Amino acid sequence: MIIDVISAFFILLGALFFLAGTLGLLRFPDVYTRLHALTKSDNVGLGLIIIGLMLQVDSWLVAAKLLFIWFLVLLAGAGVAHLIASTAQKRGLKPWKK
Amino acid sequence: MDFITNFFLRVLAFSLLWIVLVNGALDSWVIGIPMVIMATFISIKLLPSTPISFIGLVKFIPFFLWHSLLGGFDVAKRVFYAEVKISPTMFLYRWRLPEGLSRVFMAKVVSLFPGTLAVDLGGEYLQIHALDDSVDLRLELMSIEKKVADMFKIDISAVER
Repeated sequence: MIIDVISAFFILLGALFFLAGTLGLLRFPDVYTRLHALTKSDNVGLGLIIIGLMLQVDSWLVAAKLLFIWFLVLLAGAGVAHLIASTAQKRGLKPWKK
Repeated sequence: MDFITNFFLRVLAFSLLWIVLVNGALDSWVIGIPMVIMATFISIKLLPSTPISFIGLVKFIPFFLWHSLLGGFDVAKRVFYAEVKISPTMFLYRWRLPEGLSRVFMAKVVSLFPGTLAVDLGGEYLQIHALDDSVDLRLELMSIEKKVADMFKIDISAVER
């Protein structure tokens, strides 16, 4: 019961970070700033959701698999962000200035 | 590390991964054993063994988790304001790390840390896009670079900059 509450707390908190990332995608002015929003908050959001889910599993194998998923998304997220940013720059996209 | 130790450590790591992927199903080893051996050879080909300091790694994990959490908070803080609070800038940082895996690793780490995004890492400089131009990026990057260097057993203290 208490586990369920803690687990729900982490999952909801994670969802809040996904909301922040999506808001950033909509509200930030250019491709570079939008990448910041997506990579960083989605990474934290997924991490928190994974923690929430890990509290619910009954085998360490599933827990390890969840952690591994987070690790792969982390790698892919950071790598893709870099690739998009460097391509944007090569195409001559100027970063937004205040 | 000699070839045999390296080989068996990788076999061990991939075997563990296989067990996790198939939830420990024993009959799956028919496919698992060839897969583990193939993965080991491919990984040795693609990523020759790199010296990693165990203590450096253990120190790095909490540092990374904490700062990537801050990275998420930082974005959340900025987007929930009525007016988006950013003043972005591009920043060039001269590498002290040698070319190779450690640079790629640091670029990925930096992209998950608060306010910084790696744009270009080829050549002499690491190019960063930062959300906030009021922080001392150079100092921040130097401290991250030091931790990465410690983890990869690279001495950067002597590198001129």
